Amino acid sequence: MTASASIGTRPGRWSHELQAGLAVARRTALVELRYRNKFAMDLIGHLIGLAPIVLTAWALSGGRHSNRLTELAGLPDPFTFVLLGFVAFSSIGLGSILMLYTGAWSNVGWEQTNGVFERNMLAPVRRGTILFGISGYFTTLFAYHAVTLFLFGWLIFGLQPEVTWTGLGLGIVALLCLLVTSCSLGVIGASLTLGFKEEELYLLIVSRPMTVLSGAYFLIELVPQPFRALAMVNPLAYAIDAFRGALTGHPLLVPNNGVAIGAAIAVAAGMSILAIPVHRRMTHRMVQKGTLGLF
Amino acid sequence: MATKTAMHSLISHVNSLRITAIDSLTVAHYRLIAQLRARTWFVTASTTAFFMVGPLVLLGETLVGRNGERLQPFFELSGYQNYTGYLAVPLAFAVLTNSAYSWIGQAIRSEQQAGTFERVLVSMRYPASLLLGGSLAHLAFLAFFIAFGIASVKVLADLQLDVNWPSALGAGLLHLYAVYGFAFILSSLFLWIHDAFIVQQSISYVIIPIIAGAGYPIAILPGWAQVVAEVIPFTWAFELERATFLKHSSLADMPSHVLLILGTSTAMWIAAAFLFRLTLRRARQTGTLGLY
Repeated sequence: MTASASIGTRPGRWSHELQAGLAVARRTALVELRYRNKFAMDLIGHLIGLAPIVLTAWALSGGRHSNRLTELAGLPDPFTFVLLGFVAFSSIGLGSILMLYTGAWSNVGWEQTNGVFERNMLAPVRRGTILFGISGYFTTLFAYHAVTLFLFGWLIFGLQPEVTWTGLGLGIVALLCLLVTSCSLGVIGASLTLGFKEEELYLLIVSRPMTVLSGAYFLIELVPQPFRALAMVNPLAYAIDAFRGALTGHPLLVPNNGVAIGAAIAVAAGMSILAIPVHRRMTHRMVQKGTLGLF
Repeated sequence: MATKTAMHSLISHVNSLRITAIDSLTVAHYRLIAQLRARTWFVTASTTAFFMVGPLVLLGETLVGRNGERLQPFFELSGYQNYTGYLAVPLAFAVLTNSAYSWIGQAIRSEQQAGTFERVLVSMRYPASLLLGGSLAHLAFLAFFIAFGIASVKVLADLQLDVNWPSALGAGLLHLYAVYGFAFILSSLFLWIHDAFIVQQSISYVIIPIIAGAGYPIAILPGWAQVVAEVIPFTWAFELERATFLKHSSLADMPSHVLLILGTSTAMWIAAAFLFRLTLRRARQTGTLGLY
């Protein structure tokens, strides 16, 4: 235990760490590939996950005839609002029907139970590199979800974004911020799962509250108090709003796209900064308690 | 002589039922003890409806609104003006009973991985007790989850419930009859497919919230999909729940719905018994009862 801990904490060169992180991501992909049904569902589950939301929106708006969104928020097409929100949602891993089983936090929980995690910690790299590598694989998967959902929405549902070069550029920046946020959230979730041995804990205190109050496919202004106040301090709500705002012309939570993108960058940076001490503290706790593996 | 044989047969059947009941209760007891080890699970499961159904109810507020122009078209399509209740009641049932699929099937997989599955089967007279016991343990907390779930969504939106309690209870029980039949079918997958959890999750997701119309009237589906929806008991269960929770309707007003749920669910229970026996025999023959 002590030997593995000392090797695991030895800092390496950045190129070495990056290489190790990529190796971990590649290995995670290879492990995922072994579960063919899961892998297939990882590739199409987000499109299936969209179906009930689209069908409900269709029934509520009678196709796409609702003018309520125009009156309330100046957005002409309810489907564009819902679809862009869902694209942003999926970039943080919440679009798939397997959202509870696909992510760094559920992956490391499995590795810990099977004893693989302890073995991985013997690698002569920083421990965080391993967690970021695992989370990196899932972030790549979520990027694929976001892009394919956007294309699917455009081709099948006639998504009507206001595509200007500036808007597209801001949209890409917002998406990248969401992906960085997603990667960092993956590390935070994995650290909490490992540290407290409770897979549900991350769901309970981070994932679900942030999800329900994100305004991905509803207007935050319609959420009753005190939940609206909580939604207004939810960082994910601003990141999602920045992405949608870039592609609809204007965000809903802040005055303009510049501020929205600034907020999305701040959220990504904040989450990344938060992920480092969280994973350090949790790993330290596990090493001290000898609970890197749970047999 | 004939009377004696009949008597013997009756005693044997009663004895079998007694043993199954005892085995099932034992399984339920240990399942609940095991679940108590996951401390946060109870809180997470209790709040599932709030987190999963809440956003869709808020989608209703966003697209329809209390006095919005879409209220009348939605009434014409669904028969309900109360769009928040229309969404929340069946979705809460769908989301919360969904735990049956993971609870019962996943428990078999956990036992396979821990090596206790073989041990349990050795001491158990009828393997079906494993499924029945899992269902009993699940039932122990489900009523609380559903009540808490609907109450928690009420915090987000005014659901305007008008409940006929006896019929609502009947509708809930009919729904559970369908849920456990479906859960037993899906449980057999764990004796057959390695990553069965994903297959189970995908099948239940496609059938319940998408095809059975938990959050929308199936009238908006294309013709062929409506035909498929009509042979799924959950479609009728959702209709019953909406009517009994929102319109104070009685089950006696909707006998065809009740019969359809009973018929299709019974078919699922029979199919489940056949499939479980088949997959269990296969697992015994191929030496895959345990997965280490």
